[in-house]
Amino acid sequence: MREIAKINKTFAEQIKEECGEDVYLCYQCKKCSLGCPTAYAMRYKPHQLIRTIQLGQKDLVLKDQSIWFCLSCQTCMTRCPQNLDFVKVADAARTIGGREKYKNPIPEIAAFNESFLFLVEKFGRIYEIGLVMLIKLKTKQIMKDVVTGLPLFFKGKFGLLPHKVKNVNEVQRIFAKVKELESK
Amino acid sequence: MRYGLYPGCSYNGTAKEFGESINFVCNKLGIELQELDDWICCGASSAHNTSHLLATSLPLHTLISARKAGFEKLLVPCIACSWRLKTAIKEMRENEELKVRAEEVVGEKYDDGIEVFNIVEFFIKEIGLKKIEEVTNKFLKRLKVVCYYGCMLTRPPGVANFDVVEDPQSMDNIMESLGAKSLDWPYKTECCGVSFALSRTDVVVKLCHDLLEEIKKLEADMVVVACPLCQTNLDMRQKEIEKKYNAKYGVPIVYFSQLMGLALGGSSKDVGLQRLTVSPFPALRKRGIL
Ligand code: SF4
Ligand code: SF4
Repeated sequence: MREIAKINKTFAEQIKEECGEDVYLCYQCKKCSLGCPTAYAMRYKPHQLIRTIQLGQKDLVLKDQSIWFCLSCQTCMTRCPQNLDFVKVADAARTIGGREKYKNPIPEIAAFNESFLFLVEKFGRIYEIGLVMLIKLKTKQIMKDVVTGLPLFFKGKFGLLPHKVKNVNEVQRIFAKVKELESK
Repeated sequence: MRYGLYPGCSYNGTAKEFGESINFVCNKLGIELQELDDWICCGASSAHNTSHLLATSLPLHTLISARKAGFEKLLVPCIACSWRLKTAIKEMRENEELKVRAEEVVGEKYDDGIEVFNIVEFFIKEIGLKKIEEVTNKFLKRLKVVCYYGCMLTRPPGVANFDVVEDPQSMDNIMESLGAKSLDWPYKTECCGVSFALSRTDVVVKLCHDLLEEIKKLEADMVVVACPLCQTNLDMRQKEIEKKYNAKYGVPIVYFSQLMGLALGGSSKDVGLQRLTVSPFPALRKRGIL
């Protein structure tokens, strides 16, 4: 007997709870994928990711790189005839993945996000050279981009030291409070 | 006119010339920009991937402090920041529960009293093309430009809300009122790869290559942008792209505010032209502008 894919609704429901978007609105017209600048790099294109979520295949979505290639450029949601906001769906999926300890399959993007939020929490602002260095350390690519970075330094665009905001305690309180409310 | 300014993290860094030229232009036009005191990052590229609540609370903190400083209008030049701030405003309007939770995080109530402007929207709505034309006297005569809006300036619909989403005209109109000739092209709102520049550079290199190839066909003097991410990716990576694809572009990528500054009598230093990687000086001299 042929095995029929088991439809497990919970992932779609989870997405809806997270961001309010109903993936069942999608009727697979593919308009989203056709305009997507990074579809070329995705194994599952945006419309396929949505279909996968409709069918409850959570691991397929969260263990694959595809969803992490979304740049949040918002071309797809601008064009969707069903007014489905795939950017919100992607954000929700990535958030759920992070919360449930799925490993981000693209190390450079994981490093970027971790470093970005680390700096905001620590200093209240991003300082760009710090961000670059942190990502390089995490991905062990210290030398990459040194050449592109140097002219910026000479043109006076990179400050070497971070600017720490005065009310950095308040920023840290915001991060802590978000964690507290979300664990409830 | 007095406006709050939320500069964002790149205003004094990679987008320094953006900041310098905006400050110069506003000063010339008699617009008082007052930077918010001790502002914090909006969480831009990363918070929305991690936590919706965090991605709403960080902008809310800024909105509340702008309110407390007595502002009703806030200029947010960085497009990524203005996207996050405008999104927070819209979502809190539509979702009371989110608003209550974010207010609990920040520890204060918000009265929804701030209007956020991105930089192009600001010049269109608050200054107006007529005024721009009057004061600049068609200074950029004969300059041929291509306006590149990038993905976020006009999107998402209902959030940015000031121009045609997929075929925007606002920046073209500003350029024409400065006297330049603005060329039409089909890639106005394609994406440059935004913050992938620091993670998956390969994506940015590919997308910017596609853009530069299209730009090359137009034989324009320069590309005009309004977003620090577009500018940095197309300008700073241009050499790398030329090398990888064995191509030659050499096309300057300037902020529209830099050209506005020149038209208002600014020197190249006033608007930070020397900070660009691909030099705009030869093209500007060729057209007799510098
Ligand atoms: S554009 Fe909308 S309806 Fe069409 S495939 Fe994409 S999400 Fe589905
Ligand atoms: S927002 Fe993401 S999925 Fe949608 S078109 Fe842009 S990159 Fe593709």
